[in-house]
Amino acid sequence: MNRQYDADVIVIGAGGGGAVVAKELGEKGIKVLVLEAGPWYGNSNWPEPNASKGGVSSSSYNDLSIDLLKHSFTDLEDDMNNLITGKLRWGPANRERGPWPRMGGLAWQNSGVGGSTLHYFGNCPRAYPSQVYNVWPISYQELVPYYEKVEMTLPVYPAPTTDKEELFYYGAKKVGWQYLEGKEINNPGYRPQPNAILRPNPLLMDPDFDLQNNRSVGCTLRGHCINGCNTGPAVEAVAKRSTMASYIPGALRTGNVEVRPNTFVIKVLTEGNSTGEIHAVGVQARDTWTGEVNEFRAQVIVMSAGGVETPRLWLNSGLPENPWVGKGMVTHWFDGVTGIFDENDLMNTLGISSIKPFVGQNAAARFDYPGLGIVMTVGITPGLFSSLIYASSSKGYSFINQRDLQAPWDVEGEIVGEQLKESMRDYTRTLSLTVFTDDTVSQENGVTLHPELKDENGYIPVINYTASEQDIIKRDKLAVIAADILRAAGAKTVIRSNWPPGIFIHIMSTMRMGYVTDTNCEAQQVKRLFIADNSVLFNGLGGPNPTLTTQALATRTAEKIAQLYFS
Amino acid sequence: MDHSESVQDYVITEDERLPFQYLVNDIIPRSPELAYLYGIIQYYGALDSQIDEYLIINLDSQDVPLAKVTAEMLNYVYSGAGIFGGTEFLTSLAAIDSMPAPFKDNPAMIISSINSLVSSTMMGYYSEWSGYGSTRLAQPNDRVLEYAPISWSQIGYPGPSLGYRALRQYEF
Repeated sequence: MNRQYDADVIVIGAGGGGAVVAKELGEKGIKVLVLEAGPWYGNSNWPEPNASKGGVSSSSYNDLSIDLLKHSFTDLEDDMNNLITGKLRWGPANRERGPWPRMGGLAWQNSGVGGSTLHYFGNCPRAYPSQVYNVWPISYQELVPYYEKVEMTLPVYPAPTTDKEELFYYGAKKVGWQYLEGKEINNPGYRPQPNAILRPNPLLMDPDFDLQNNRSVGCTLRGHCINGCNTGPAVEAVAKRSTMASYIPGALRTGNVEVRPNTFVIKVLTEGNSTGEIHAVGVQARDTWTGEVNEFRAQVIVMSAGGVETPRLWLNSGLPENPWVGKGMVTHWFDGVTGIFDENDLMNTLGISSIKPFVGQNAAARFDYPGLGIVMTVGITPGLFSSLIYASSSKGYSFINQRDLQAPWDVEGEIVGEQLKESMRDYTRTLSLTVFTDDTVSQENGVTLHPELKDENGYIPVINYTASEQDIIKRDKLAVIAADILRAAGAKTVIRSNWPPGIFIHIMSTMRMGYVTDTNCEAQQVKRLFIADNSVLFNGLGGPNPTLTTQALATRTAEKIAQLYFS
Repeated sequence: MDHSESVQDYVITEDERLPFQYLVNDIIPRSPELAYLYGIIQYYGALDSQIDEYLIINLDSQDVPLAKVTAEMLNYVYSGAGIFGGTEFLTSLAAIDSMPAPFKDNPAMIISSINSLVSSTMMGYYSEWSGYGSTRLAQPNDRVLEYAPISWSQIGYPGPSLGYRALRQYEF
């Protein structure tokens, strides 16, 4: 490595994409510096990651500490998931400071080593081939070896069945849907979730197995995926494979990767040559504890800051104008459809008296419908459950709404008052389904900078999203399918949340391949600047959760970087 | 007379609490009828778990503290038809001369603020927060879970778990 550089490659963000690039490049002997805006949980250089500044960086696998991780990840949902003060939020490590502001809706993302994979469910389906073949600027076949590599590395398995999944399969089968086999989905049907969660601990069903002192490998079906999993004997062996537990330990093992948390990149630096071509040479970054700004230089820069921050950083850096920077955003415009079951009916169908949404992996069964999107089971802890299922609607309060007798649900809208208390009293007999819409790329939707408002990291991002007529039709069809499955499973009451379009969880395609980058994911207008996060996806994959595809593409991008600049 | 409650980090005045108390009571009320039907535990609501305080500390944990202006906005809401008064009613409030920023002339902000308070009320009530008991108003790093919230007994949630022997053999 040349001495004028801090590393061969700087990666901005240690989330779902950046961690993959770091490990892949590190394995090729390329020196990588990862700059991450948020804290690092489970690393002995930061024994109190939310309370004091701690160390500067870590490049040693031996710094990882499962004891510290277990101490930080308390499984308590306000402590972990509160959007304003939680450990898993979009904000600085110091919880006495507020979150970093965004406008235009709720973008549910995390800062921190692991990024939004810290709270993700671990879902790892591949894109629908029909949404890539002859649509993307690269072929589906081109992605397959990279899918395989990521699926092996994480690793990805079909999720185990507990009561709530069995009830879902029972309903889906009864409606007449097919069971889907294989990873490439071309027809509608149901299947266990392919997810990045280690298989259940083989001792789990042994009554003598001591859960209290468990330090062995494997999921224990305790339902805390979204709260930040800490199950396992070492950080690298934690059951849910956030990149904090998978790619980051792998990156450290190469001996070529240094990760610096609490470091918010505020500008990408470029230089031009005599032909007018510009290339990236470094970044300016701000220490989130001290406010100190430093410059870091490298031969290649990779933006992996996520679907909102990557375009924001481009725009705040004054990089060349491009009509697709920040534009084309898709979000899978979610919805929720929920069934409440009677104890007697559950006894008759499955021989159980409840299905306990807090037991088992959070999203372990799914229904796929290429052309429409996804229906997926979601069982989570009760604070998040109630606020997502009963408090999020574009239809207002359900008790004010007239019941639509044609609709396949009994109730639509927000549920409050005694009706909420009654519904939550049935929490242990509630099966909730989430709908992801195969929404359409539109240049009208996306991320821009606020013209006046700034935080310490620059002009703040404003998100704008309006669903198209087609999106509304697709989502309504999926909601009907979800309601039919619940009804077939025996639900006594079916509730449609009808989420507003301003809750963003899968934020994709704001720096699209073919428009902002070339097919190597290198920016068309800035050489040596690559993108490896959900923003570079060409579209919303047809509905499948984006992380696996982003990670496959990041693996490929690392290979391209090595070939182009370090061979 | 000092109306402020003795707290550790967040200072909350009784005046400020009142409109938040109306709101949380609308969302998760005390329920004599449910208590009669299902047992006394179902009587309790958000006021019994101090969820009005939860809303206030969340609003004041942002870099620009918002509890005071939000309380003023809610006072106008509850001087009229309340949070269930409909979009037209809530929209009309933005025109009130003394409505504070950021709600003045910004009906969308009034509506989105109330939506987020409704959702926070549920998160506060059904999460562990009220179980922080005497430490509930401390900075998040300093809180200690002292007991299980009432809500968990109401809904049959046993609290965090180390594991469930819940694997089913399912043949596809």
